[in-house]
Amino acid sequence: MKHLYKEYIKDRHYYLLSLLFIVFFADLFLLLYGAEANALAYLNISLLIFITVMTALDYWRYRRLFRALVDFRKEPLIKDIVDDRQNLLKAYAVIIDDLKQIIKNSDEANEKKMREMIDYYTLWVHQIKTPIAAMQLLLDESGDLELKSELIKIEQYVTMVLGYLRINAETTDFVFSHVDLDKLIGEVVKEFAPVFISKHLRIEVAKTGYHFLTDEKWLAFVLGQIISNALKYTKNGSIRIYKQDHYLVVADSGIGIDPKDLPRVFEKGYSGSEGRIDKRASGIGLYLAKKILLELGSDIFIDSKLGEYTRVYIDISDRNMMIE
Amino acid sequence: MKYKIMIVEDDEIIAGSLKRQLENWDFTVGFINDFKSVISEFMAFGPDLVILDISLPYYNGYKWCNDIRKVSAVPIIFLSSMSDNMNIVMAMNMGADDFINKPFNFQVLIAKIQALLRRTYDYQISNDHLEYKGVLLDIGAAMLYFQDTKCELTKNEVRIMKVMFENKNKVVSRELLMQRLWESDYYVDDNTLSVNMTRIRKKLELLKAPFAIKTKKGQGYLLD
Repeated sequence: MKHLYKEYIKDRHYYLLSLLFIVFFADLFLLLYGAEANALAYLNISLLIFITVMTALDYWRYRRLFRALVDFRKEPLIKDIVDDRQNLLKAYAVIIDDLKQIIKNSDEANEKKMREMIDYYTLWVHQIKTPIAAMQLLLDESGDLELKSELIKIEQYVTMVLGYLRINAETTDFVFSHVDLDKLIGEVVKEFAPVFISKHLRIEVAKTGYHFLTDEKWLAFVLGQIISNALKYTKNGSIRIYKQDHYLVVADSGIGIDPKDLPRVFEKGYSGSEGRIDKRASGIGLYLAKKILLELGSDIFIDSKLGEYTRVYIDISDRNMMIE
Repeated sequence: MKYKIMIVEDDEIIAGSLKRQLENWDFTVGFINDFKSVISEFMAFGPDLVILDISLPYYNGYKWCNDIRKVSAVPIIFLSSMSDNMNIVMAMNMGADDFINKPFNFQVLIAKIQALLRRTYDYQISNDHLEYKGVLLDIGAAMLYFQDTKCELTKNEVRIMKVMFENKNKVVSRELLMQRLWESDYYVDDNTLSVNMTRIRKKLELLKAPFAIKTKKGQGYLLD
């Protein structure tokens, strides 16, 4: 701090020089035009006093700002390397650098925390799947369909946790391959067999004969969510799965969706106005489905008539050309 | 000859239930007692197929898979909840033949076991022909025979008869029938099942079979 005035002069030297220059030129011109020595002396003294006062005031302001910056840099967040000889602009630059470093560190810490959380949830999902597998085997032996249906719901929610974490992670593992749509539908539908049978719901699956490039696991996850929703909101009738143009359609004869809810069903946490759709609905399933499909370069939309039907359309255009 | 299956799984409930169900399918089933010496127990038991979990006490399943591969080409199926792509690739690289995610459907497991045994040992599914009171069900040909008469069945009728024959002397619930039909890609509903049952009954009558399919109210069907 002790040499701050040197820094101040360095910082302001053009400005100070110009002031002295102005005085010098004023004297020169007045001298050439024959001004009296007394007048010149008065002018010079008053100008110099004025300049000195203003400069002192400016220096005082400069010093205050600099002190503020130094104090700011002494805050615990910012590493404490105060260099007395830094001028104001340099001080700003150093602080900006410090802040950049702080942001970087905190980003890294957050990322690490997120990674650790995902690791833990991944482990948890694996842990919880062992007792689920054990229960499923025991139920295979005893054959209680309603218990099995409940277990399928638990499994579905567990899968959702992992899906939610993974799709929101910075890096999501997509594995694109040529997928046999009929095989995929068959596998997903069969998972829900006990639910269909115990609820006495009919399912009609129309063969599509369609193959396309997509991520099999993620698409199966989305289809599982859609079928699980259809099962939740359909008391009787049927669920139909078929291909229409470049869409895979999952149509149910369930309670349908209120037109005023329809535009918002893909929003995170939206579970219907006035608690409609369902009190248990988390508002996560469709949000996840949409997010996943968008990441896969696909899309999803819903057409519904309250009390009559819900039809979910999943875009299954082949993105082959785009990727190659 | 009974095929021997070794289950390397530390969850006793899963291992126990698998053992009971595999024994119903006429396999001899062995457990691991000491997870430090899986290889010596493998050698002592001499299984025709191994079901292997990944997370085990002491060493993981990959290590045991690798070790088994050094001494034997026996089919190995991984059965694990760690079903990320990386784990599946790892399992296959260690020499596994198949990977099943936990939780799993027992019918899927049994189908994969049969497929692997068939590829490895010329294993013939012993129940391609089923018999009850002199009536023969030929699953491959989709035919029912009794004395000199025969009768053709549709695919779905074969599936229903197969379940009925496998559970002779037991009441088969409609739910069980439907679940088994679903597993063979036939998503049957209540009406369709009833229609099929009526048709099968007529065919049994035509065949003059010494039994009929009786309906037990609220329970299911019984061959009697």
